[in-house]
Amino acid sequence: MINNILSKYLLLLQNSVFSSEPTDKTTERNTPSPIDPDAIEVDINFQPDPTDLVLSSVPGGELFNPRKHKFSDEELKPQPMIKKAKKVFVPDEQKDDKYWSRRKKNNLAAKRSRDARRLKENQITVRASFLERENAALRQQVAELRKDCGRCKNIVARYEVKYGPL
Amino acid sequence: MAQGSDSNDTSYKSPSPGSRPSSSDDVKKVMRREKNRIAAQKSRMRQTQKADSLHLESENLEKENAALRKEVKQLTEEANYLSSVLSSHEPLCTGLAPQTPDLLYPTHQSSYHRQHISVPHYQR
Repeated sequence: MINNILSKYLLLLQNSVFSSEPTDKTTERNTPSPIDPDAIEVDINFQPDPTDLVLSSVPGGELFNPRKHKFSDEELKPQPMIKKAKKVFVPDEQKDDKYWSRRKKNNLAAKRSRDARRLKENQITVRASFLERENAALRQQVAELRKDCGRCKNIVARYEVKYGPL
Repeated sequence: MAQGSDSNDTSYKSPSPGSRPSSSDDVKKVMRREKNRIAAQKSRMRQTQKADSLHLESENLEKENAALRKEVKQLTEEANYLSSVLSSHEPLCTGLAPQTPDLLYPTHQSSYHRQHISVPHYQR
């Protein structure tokens, strides 16, 4: 879109001949798209290891999508450590049903906690590698846009020198 | 995860195996136990450190990502603005007025009139 306009003015500034229609009819007409605030802006290029994705997904839920899943600051802060109760020795006679049911409950809770932690770490890892890729692409986009702006400003400046303000 | 105060907890000891536990067995057992305790502690420490650095890196990446998106938005708006300035000027532009039609539509009057009866002339 920008190139179209710029090449016209470039021609003008470089020679005196001007063709009223762009000679290259194959340039597509780009209608300027509305700027979505950060919502969805980026180019797709990420192919993560499917195993990693599965390991990052809640079983029974949908597959983990690193693009959508943002981690807020509080989620990322180092986990607060709970003081662990001291191990008290329990003689066999005291290990009644109540004891074992409590042990079972705690063992299950501990396993859930470990699994949840592992899942979260995997998710964060996948998301981090996705962000690395996305940031690189974004940096490229920024460079391109700076170039475009520079060219436009250059054209305007050169034009105004010759023909006065727009 | 609960991890606070098990730094040197050796209050729990399992009963010794066999009917004649020798003191050397006990000593070996205790030594092995202690070694394992330290190894487990080290392993847990490594795990937390790894997680902490991952979280820090992740936080930075999120911030950088947000900043880049913002920049892309600003630059796109600027580029669109500049482009629209040029676009809207174009129809009004005196400098861009076309040159004599000769350059664009070279005329061979005689040949035209011989071949065609009526020739529409496009003038701008």
